[in-house]
Amino acid sequence: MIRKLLTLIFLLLTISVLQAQSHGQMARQLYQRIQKIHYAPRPCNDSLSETLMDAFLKEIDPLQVYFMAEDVTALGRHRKSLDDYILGGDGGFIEEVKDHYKRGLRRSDSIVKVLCSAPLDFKQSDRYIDTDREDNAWAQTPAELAQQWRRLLKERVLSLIFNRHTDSTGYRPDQLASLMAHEPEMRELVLRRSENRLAKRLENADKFIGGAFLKCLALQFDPHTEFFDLSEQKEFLAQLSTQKESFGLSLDENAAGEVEVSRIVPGSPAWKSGKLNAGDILISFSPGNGQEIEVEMSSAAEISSRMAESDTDSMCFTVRKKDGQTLTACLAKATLRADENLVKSFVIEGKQKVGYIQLPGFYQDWEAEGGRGCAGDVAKELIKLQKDGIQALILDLRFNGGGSLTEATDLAGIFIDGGSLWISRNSANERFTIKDPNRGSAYAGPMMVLVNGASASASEFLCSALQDHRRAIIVGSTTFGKATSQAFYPIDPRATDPNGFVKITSHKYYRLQGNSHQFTGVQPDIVLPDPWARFIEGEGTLPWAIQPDTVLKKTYYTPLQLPDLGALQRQSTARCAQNAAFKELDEIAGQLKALLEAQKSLALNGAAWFGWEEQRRKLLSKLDELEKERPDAAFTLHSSQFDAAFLQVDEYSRNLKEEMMQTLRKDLQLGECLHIIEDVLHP
Amino acid sequence: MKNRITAFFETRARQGARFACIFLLAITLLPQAATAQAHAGEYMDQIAASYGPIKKDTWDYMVAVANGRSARKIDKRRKELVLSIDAAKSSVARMKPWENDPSYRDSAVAYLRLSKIILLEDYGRIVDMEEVAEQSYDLMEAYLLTRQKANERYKTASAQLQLACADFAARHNVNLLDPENDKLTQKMKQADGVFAHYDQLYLIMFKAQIQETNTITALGTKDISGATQSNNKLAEYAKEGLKNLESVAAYEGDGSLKTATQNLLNFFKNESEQKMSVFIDFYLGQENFEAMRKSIEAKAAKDRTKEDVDNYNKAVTDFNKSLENYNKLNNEANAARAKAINDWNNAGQAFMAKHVANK
Repeated sequence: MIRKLLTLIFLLLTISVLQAQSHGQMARQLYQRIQKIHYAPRPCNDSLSETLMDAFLKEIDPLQVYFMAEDVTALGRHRKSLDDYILGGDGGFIEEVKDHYKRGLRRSDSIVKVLCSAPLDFKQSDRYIDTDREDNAWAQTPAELAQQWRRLLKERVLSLIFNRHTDSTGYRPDQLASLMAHEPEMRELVLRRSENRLAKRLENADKFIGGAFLKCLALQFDPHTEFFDLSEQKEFLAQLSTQKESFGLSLDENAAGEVEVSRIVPGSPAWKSGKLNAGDILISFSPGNGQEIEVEMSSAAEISSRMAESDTDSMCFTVRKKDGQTLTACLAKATLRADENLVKSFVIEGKQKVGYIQLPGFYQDWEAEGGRGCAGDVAKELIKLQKDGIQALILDLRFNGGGSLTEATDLAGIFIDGGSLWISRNSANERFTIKDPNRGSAYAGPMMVLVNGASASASEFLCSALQDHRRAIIVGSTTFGKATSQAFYPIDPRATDPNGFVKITSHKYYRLQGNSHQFTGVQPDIVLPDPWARFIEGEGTLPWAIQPDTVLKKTYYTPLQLPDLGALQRQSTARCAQNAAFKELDEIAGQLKALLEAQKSLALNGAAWFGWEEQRRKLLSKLDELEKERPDAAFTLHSSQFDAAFLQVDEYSRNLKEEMMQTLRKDLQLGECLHIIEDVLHP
Repeated sequence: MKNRITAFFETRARQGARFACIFLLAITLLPQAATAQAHAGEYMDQIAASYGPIKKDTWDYMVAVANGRSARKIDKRRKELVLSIDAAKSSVARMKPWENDPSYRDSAVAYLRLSKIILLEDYGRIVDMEEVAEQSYDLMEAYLLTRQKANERYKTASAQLQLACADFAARHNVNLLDPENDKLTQKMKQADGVFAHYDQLYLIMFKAQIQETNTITALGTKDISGATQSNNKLAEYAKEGLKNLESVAAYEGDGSLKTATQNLLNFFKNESEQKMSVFIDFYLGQENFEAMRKSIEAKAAKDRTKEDVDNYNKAVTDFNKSLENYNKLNNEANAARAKAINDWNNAGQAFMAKHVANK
């Protein structure tokens, strides 16, 4: 027995040392890789050590409920030494953090148990935990830590009470006492969930802490240099691909912490089952091994990641419908055509016939023969639309976060007759002009590109080239501001079986006049009201974002002529000012933003919390009503004649397109784009 | 890009592209000196004499090119010409400056050096290829631009040599006689005009032809985007070429090559508008049909409605018709292309043979 025990202890020690070496060595390999390839690498010195320490602690304990000041002080001894550990491949510090973290989790478990054993005192003047505050301090004493936990538990209990025990008729202050009567059962639920989560965190602590350190290290160089473990890397590449296996349902967590079906992909197994709908609450699921898992103990992200695992082929989902009945749907995964990613086009019939193409991402299927990409797909849609005799084109890049730069180059070439597109620059200050790969264009008519603050990276490259060539009028709001490109590398270049990957920013890009939209974004030629812009943060707000500068390089291109943009802007501004729907939407968006700000100092008692939640619910339902009641715009939409026969046969594509058309008919910005086109075509 | 440009030039050279500028050699003839200051005049005559063998070898080279000799024979003549230039260059370079005035000698050496570079198509030494690469967005444009820049450079060098010659003569009191105008010189001058005409028409044709090649290459890989872009440009260049032809005069009343060029450009125009666009539509339709077939096959037979089946059957019929049409047009295009290109090549050879005498 003793021998067995000794063997076990020896084994455990060996594993621990191996892990220490492993994460330490990975950090060194990661740094070396970044140092070699990054566009502008930070030196590995005390400054990097300090900022890495701060980012790391914030990453692993953002709510400051696991560590106490004593832990932070103990770890603080290493504040200026992380650079040395990284260069030496020494993982001792990471092991030390793991120990503190595990101790913190166990301590938290005890605190939660004690706090939840009695009614929470809502008379105490606790406030919501605002993780963004600079002056957040670590708990000095166990009592202070318990106070932090009490704030968190109160927030969770209040949220559950409101979402589970109020309905769409709304909350009235006279219901306060009856609602608070649910505190014991909701506290019990919060306790069970917290225990469950803490236990899972403890189980995964080693992997989590090591991974978090590597992630934070990569992010010290710029917001797009990222560490990925094997499964994350596959997932990232799949996002850019056109083929994926899925059940076809997306899950989200509602304010009550319930897991809700947020979307059913038309044509997917979930859609074909006919049993599931958006808004259903997931009660339980069984991942094919007969074991039924209660959802109350899992987050939406955890279930989603379980659903995405490659060895999960089938799953049964039990949901509570809106009318209260319970249903179970057993689904088998199928290859979705990922049409969410594919280009969609429509002919808009209003005063003019306008082609509309929506491109949600710059995808490229590396595995497909000939490498199918979005540029080729856009060209095909353009040919179809031109057969319908369109007089102008709108390319919608709103919320298009980018993707393959090759595709962006090809796509720019489709619209530009020839010439330079943009300039790339690497860490050796070598500058190259990226040019249109094909002489000629696939569409030469008037063109407009619709963008917003979430149009990033490849979208912005395309926009900048079209704007520099004066080939298209850019309409909407300032884009995200990412003018860099990244490539994937295994962190150990010699490894046959890589232990991790890093996406490294290797190039920065400049426009044809030598300036860059890095950090600042592409300014549209015509600015449209964008009520949701206040919720989108651009590159400039991200830590360690690469700063903009200029480059000197001669480029050759012949800009085209555009109509008087100033006049078009004035006409558009005047029209939008008269548009009550824009105004109403802007007011609601403004109120929602203010409400989010107010939450940061919200008092954690029933009256304040329920009042706040009720305000939010009202605003969201007002938004829904506004959308529903808004009359359809004065145009009709249909698919190109070329696709008509195919759509008659293919129900999946027909449904997807119908779903899109419903949204587009209510799209205020699209409506205004059509007015601008009218101004251009009939000045 | 620079390397790709060089490779492209080699390909063009193999395909029979000719560089008008090399034949400037034929017309940059040096004047002979009169006897006023015999010793300075003799000095100038000595330089002109070194140039003599070049003239003969240039003519041999021109004849070989004009009469469509094999690539090996043309290359042999070119190497002989290069050797003559080398010999002349060393001989002139060895001469001492005349009364401390090396200007004429140095200009002649510089000119011969440039002649050799152009003959060897070693453009990187006289044209800023980095600049060419930057300024052009494909190899065709780089090719045209390099030729233009090399031509300009050569013309300038030729003018500078003439000027240096006149200055030297004036400084040293030498009266110049007109350059020798023997039978060979006359033949060379005429041949230069023939090459210039050929070259002008070749370039008009070539601009469209390269777009046709790009379109066919893109269609071969079912790259609908690339094919559409290249085909649109093919139509544009064919029309532009036809318009440019209007201002090209027949060569001494011989309009045969111009007519052949016109025919070829008309073929490109029609091919682009009536054939290529159908081919692009065919590939697009084929993709659509495949998607439809997959969609209907994915549906269980019992779930297919009569409308589904009717729609699909109609699509099968339509696709078969379009396939038949595609094959027909493709055969027509291939035959017409082969004929138009063959006609142009024959017209080119006949034109050269007619106007550049074979010795």
